[in-house]
Amino acid sequence: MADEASLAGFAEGFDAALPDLPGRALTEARQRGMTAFQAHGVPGRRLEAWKFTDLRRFLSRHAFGPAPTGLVDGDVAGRVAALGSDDDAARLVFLNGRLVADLSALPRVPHGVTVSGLANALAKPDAIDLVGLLGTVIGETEDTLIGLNAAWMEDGFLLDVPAGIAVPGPIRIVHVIQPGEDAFSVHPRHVIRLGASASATIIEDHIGGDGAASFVNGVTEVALAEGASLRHYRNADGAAQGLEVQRIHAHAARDARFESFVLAVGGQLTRHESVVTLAGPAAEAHVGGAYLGRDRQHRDNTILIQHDAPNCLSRQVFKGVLDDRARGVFQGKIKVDRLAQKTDGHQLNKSLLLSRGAEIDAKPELEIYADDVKCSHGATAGEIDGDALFYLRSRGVPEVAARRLLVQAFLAEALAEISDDGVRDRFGTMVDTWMTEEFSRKDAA
Amino acid sequence: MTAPLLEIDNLHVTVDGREILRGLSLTIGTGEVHAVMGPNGSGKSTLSYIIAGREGYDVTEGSVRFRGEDVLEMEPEERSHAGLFLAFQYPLEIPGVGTNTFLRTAYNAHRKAHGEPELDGMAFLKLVREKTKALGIRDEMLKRPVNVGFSGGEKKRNEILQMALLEPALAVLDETDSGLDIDALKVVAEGVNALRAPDRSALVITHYQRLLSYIVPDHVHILADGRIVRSGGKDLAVELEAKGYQDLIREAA
Repeated sequence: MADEASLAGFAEGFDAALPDLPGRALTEARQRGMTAFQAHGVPGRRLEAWKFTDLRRFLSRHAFGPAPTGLVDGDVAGRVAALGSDDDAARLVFLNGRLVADLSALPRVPHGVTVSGLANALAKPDAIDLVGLLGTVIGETEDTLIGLNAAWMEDGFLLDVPAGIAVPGPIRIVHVIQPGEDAFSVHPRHVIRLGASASATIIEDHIGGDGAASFVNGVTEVALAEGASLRHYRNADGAAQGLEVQRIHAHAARDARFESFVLAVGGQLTRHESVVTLAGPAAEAHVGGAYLGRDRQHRDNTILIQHDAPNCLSRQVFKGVLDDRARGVFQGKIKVDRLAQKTDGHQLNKSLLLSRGAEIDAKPELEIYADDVKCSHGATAGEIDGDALFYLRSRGVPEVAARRLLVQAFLAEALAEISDDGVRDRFGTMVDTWMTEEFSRKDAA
Repeated sequence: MTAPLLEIDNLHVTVDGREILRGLSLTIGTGEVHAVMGPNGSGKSTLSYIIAGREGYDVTEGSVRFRGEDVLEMEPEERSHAGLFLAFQYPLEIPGVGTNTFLRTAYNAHRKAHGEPELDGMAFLKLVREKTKALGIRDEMLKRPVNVGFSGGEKKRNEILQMALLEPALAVLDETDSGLDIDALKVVAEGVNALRAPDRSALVITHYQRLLSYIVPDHVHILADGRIVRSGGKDLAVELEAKGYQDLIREAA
């Protein structure tokens, strides 16, 4: 029962909209998704996974409709350009969830590699292979938001890299949310498939304007064949009134490597959820993030690393800075199957609370069924170290600059997890920008 | 006596409701090196922290003036800009902040406070290399995070390096000799002596006489139970070494 008025339109209007949704082959999957969504509606706090993120409360303040079509803000091109990029990088730009061909370019994609919008792919008869991939990483799930996404997915990106190909340079995906007068919701679905020993780097930027609320319910499926390597970086700097839930489900075969990093810096609510299955021996997952929040922003990182095969390695490093009444959530779980001997799993979560009203809920979990493993976790939360602050000030560094230096140093440990030099530098600059705002605000206060 | 640089008058300080300094008075003239010696718990570290401006100390009576200005009203960074420097007994480790970045930030904060243009990375590196060479500090130390993984000797040398860069009018050295072997002690003492000048003063706070063999003071004061109980020339330190604190304090009482 979808008793949430906020998303009721997506349940009530589904049957009427179904014939117009892209990809006839997906009809049954859409119906199954809607059935799953209607069974329990928006996840509530009684669900363990949503205990600390009251999504229902956030959603209940608005009535979300579908994204308006044909909305073109003259400013969008400029803002996309302002993100900076080498001109020859492949780039797909989505406005309110739909691909904007005019702003997208695919200059140097190697032969055999597919980079495409989902809607375009579904419109082609030969798209069946990719359609066949949709949903296979996630499999059967009772997750109602994934169900809602399956029912309403319209667009997204597809990256398919055949075996042995290393895609040079990053592929950039830009998601622009341009709020209209009414609250709206989009349900993008992305699919990434790398063949054996293939490699690619993806950078997703989320930007947005101010205005009515928006709810992005995104799902990304990642399938990595033997020895494949994906680096996935996300800069979450979305719309001011944006609520964004992004799930990534990744499946890594033998010797595959999945690296991801999320910089959560903008938007009212962000929940970044990663489920990585290390299915083949010696696969690796490096999942990291930095979260910055102020006012009443909500930053949730929820991770499950599933060790299903022996000799796999996983690393989770998440650090955050929360001010005012911002709230952070870290739920990190390492689950080790009884077959996954010699597992090396580690997770770390540290939060810096800059005000008494800020809060972090950290829930590290280890669930281990094998007997020869090395797993650890650590979670800390605290204020800026007063002794270090005094030390800096005693050397003449003014208090605000000293605080800033210490916060920067704190976040540096997380950013160091990013293996791509360019992205690490760029995310470092974005953190600096956030801190300039943060500390100039404090100076003025 | 030269014009007073630092004047501490009848200073009473409590920490967590306990009175640690009980009427301490001390005057340091320009160009003078003073040593304050005292047993454990006499209030030595409290004296150094109250001069530098650490939080958590309540001044209930008395005053501290530096060049005639009320130090107790100044923020720690303002004291630093004015020319006060504390070499810490236990220098802090700051993970994630490179030593070079730390030094340059501090140095440029001083330049800025004095209305001078900041030095760029290259110009600063040249300056800091001159100083590290003189102190026998390897360049590699500049790349490491501040004091993280430093040996006791390296930490103290880093303190002296900061002092050499900031060129304070008054350097307070809080138990700088603690945890140092004799070679490191000599290097540190040479660093301090190199800074001795007619317009610079130092306050050396120590438990033991041995540092004073290398940094020879003009005046020596014995601190006991929160106040100066005896003052004298450099010979007082030698006398203390021979008699021990108990005898000297008893004589003074």
